[in-house]
Amino acid sequence: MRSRHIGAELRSKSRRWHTASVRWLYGYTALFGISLTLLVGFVAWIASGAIERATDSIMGWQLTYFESIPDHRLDDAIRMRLEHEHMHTNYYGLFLPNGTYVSGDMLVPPANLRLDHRGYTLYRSLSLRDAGPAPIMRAMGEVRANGMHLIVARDMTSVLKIREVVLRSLVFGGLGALAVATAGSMVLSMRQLARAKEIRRVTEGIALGDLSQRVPVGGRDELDMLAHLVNHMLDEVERLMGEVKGACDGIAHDLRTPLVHVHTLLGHLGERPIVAADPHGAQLLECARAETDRLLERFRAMLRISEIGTLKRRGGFAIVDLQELVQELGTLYEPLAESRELAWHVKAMPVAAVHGDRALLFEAFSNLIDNAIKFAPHGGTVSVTLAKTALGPLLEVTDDGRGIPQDERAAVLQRFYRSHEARHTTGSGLGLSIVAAVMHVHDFTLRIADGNVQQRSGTRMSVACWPTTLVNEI
Amino acid sequence: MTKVRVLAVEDDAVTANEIITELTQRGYEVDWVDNGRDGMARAMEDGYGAVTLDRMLPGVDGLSILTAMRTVGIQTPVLMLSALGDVDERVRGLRAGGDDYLTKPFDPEELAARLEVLLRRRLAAFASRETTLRAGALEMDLIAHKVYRNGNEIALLPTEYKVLEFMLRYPGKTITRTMLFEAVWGYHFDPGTNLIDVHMGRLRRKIDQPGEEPTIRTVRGSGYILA
Repeated sequence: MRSRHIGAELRSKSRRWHTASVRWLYGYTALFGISLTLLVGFVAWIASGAIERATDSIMGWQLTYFESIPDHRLDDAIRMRLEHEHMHTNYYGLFLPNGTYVSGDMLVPPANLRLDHRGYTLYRSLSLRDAGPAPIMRAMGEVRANGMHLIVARDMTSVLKIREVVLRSLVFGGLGALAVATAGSMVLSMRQLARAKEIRRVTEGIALGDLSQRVPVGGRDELDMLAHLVNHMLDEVERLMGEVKGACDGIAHDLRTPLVHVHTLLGHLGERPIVAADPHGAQLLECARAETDRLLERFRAMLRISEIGTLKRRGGFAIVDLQELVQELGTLYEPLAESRELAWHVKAMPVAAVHGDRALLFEAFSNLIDNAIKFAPHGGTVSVTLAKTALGPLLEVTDDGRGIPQDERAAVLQRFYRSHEARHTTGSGLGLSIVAAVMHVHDFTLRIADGNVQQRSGTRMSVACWPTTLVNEI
Repeated sequence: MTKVRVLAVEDDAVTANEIITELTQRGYEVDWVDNGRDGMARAMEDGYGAVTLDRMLPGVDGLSILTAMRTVGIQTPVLMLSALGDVDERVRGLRAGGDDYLTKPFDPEELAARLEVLLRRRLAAFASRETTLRAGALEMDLIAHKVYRNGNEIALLPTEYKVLEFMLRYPGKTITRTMLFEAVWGYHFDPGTNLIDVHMGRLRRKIDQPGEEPTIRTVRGSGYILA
């Protein structure tokens, strides 16, 4: 389950934008942008403040200068100044207390200007004689002793220019930084993702049973530290698994050999005339032989499970026609079903070919069918259905026996588990474990449900014949 | 009639002893070698009816001996014995020219039964192309795929036909259930005794008339025999 998750996440394109390096880079870019904006803003604020102060001081001096001029000569003085100043950086306006124009190139007194000998910034609210409303002006006014209003103003377009430059540099600089961050994070995250992909490939191989693989280690960053840890862990797991498997196989093998000898010896004993002459003795001997047979069958199944577990996924894999396989199983088990007087239904629809090991699938399915026949009541019904679904072929084996209680369904797939009911029937208790092992090799899913949902009785074993947990990449 | 000579290449003394005891009892003459080098030398001599060959041997391993034998053109039937029950191992053994494959530990009766079938198969190959197989009143036409009893045709299902054909090819030999399952169905797992028994039961009901001596007998604990 977990590996499917990783696989799906890694495969999605959007994942590229969620790697740690991308996040870090964007975070840094945002932080850098904010501090840069603050810095430049501060510089702009200081600069315009300084300009305003300088302007105010100039205008203050001008007002002071005009103050020294008597009222009747003021008009002339203003006109003279206007004539002298070709560059028109200064504007003047002399108005009556009611706002009527008297002199200067300011036609209307600015609306909200307080005449308190202090500088104010005006935006587009100053009407000038030889120009439209000035974009930005600094103005200062005072009420003269005779009640006339004298206003001095200076063009402040330079401040606007500073702002414009600052804004432009912020926008372009920001875009540039963003582009660089994006490109950088792309490169970094692609590199990290390539490594993650490689790690995923390796871990999938390991999950499939190839414990000899190791996660690649390339440098000394966090990922490599992690890779080292994982590799070390894998070494240990491999060693332990080898030991356990060796011990298991050794035990099974060592016990099997003397058992086979006992079996053979019992056979030889049965051929002795003295035993053959005693019907009761011969029967006992036959029972003993049957018991050793049963023991041997269990050992065989145990070794078989361990063998299936170690099989490499690709080994015997080929394209398998399930319809044909199910039909073959149908004819193989039909006589057995008939001997137990069961109603036997086999329905195999044509389905998509699957990638698998034909022999193993046959073995697994035959175990399911064998169980169904075993647990169906005398005269009951067993049906085997192969159907086409949107996801892939679905095999269902249903019987109308007593069923498997809900809480035992997970347990029956474990080795040697036999339900209470099943203890009286023959079998190794390993059949479903073999099925589970085969399902694991194929990445198929086995589900256990009620055979008859309404009556909550019987057993329905469904095999979903499509890979569920791992990405099937060739 | 001279005894058939069998070469047993086996490094484990206990197993070798079992093979020798079982086969000697059945009237074979068994030569035993316990290492790959001697095994290779002996296997190259002609005159053996069959060879049982251990897969893992000191010196030269079983697979190399087999490959060498087939390369120089010695067609003696070889029964591979191995503790490795792996499907891949089996395939490799058979591909190298082995005629059958048995996983250790094995029931000596199973070994003997398989060996007899191998020997018989070889003889059958010499006896040109048979087109009819007979046993008592039973007759199988291999070309028309038809079975007759006293001249009356018996309708058999394809599986039943295959089972009967296999039994008819090896008359008087014990055929184990595993051998039958491998030969007729082609799978190498243990399907349980019951399954093969019911197939055999059906076949018997078709080929034998009530009250008559059964054509195929059950050998207790091991398999079937066609009398």
